[in-house]
Amino acid sequence: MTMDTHILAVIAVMTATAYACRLSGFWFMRLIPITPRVEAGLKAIPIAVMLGIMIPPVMRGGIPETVGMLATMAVVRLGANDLVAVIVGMGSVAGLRALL
Amino acid sequence: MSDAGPDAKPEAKLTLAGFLEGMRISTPFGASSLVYGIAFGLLAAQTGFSVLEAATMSTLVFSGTAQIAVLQSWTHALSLLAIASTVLLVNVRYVLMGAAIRPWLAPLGGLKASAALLTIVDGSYALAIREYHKGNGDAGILMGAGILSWLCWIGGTIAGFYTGTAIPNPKSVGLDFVIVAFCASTVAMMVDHIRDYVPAVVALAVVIVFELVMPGPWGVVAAGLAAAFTGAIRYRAPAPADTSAGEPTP
Repeated sequence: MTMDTHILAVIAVMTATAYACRLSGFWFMRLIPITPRVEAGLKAIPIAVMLGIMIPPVMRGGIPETVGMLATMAVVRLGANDLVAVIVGMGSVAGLRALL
Repeated sequence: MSDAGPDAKPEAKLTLAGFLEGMRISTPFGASSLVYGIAFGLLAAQTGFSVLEAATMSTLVFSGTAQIAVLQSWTHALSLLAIASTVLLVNVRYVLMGAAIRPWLAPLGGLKASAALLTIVDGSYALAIREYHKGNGDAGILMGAGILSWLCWIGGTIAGFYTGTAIPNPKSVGLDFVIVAFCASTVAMMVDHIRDYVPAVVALAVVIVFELVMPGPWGVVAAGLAAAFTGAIRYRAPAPADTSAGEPTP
């Protein structure tokens, strides 16, 4: 089996870009002294990224996605296992999609 | 796992037990990677890739959105610069994730931290952040979840290349929702562990505005940056004698 040279070049470029994205934030922050203020900024990022990933699909979706998101969060707040929460969320989305 | 307060900093480590635990708790995410891998494998076969080319791409690039975007617009005239821009655009959120994770992973040393970072995907990040805020600083969670997703993505690519037409619609079983569910469970968990809610509220507003005005990969990046700047600007050094400045201490 051979590999097309153009496809090989495409894979190389995609790999380099994807690795650069995964590594650059971490290594760039090496240049910046992590003062308490910088750390406060960094601490605010994860939840913002989570919201940035989860809100658009819910807005583009409808009742099933909204209910699924709220159900997942409610199960976590009730103290159940996180895996259970995720499965409840998926299940309610699949169920409501079948019904609606 | 102890209950960590807003200022608790779990100790960074990388263990096999954490790795296996990461694999275990990310099973639904692995299932979704498998099914989307199948969809990608089918697309690759239809685009005229060989199975070796498709599997190599999935193994090295490991970015579903980027791979599907590139193959959907595939022509031999597509320039490498255009391809690099596509990958950069859909993956630029990883830059923010990597920056935010630095205080946690840096004590592991550059090599281990880099290895863990190369396995990052949205789902494994959401999971690892959740565990970190529960007081578990084991980067094995991040790697285990990432590696499971990676193996499922590669396996799915190969399976889809040969049998892609037979899969059920991932939406009918809610597999497209897995990533939302992981993020939602992390957010629900983190609410107890943040001292200042304003950056999160700003981020939420930014995400909603971007989705309404200019949907696409920039919303998450803008939200992350807005939250980071808000968090940094609002930071007040602890001043025990002066209770009027800054946030109320919990």
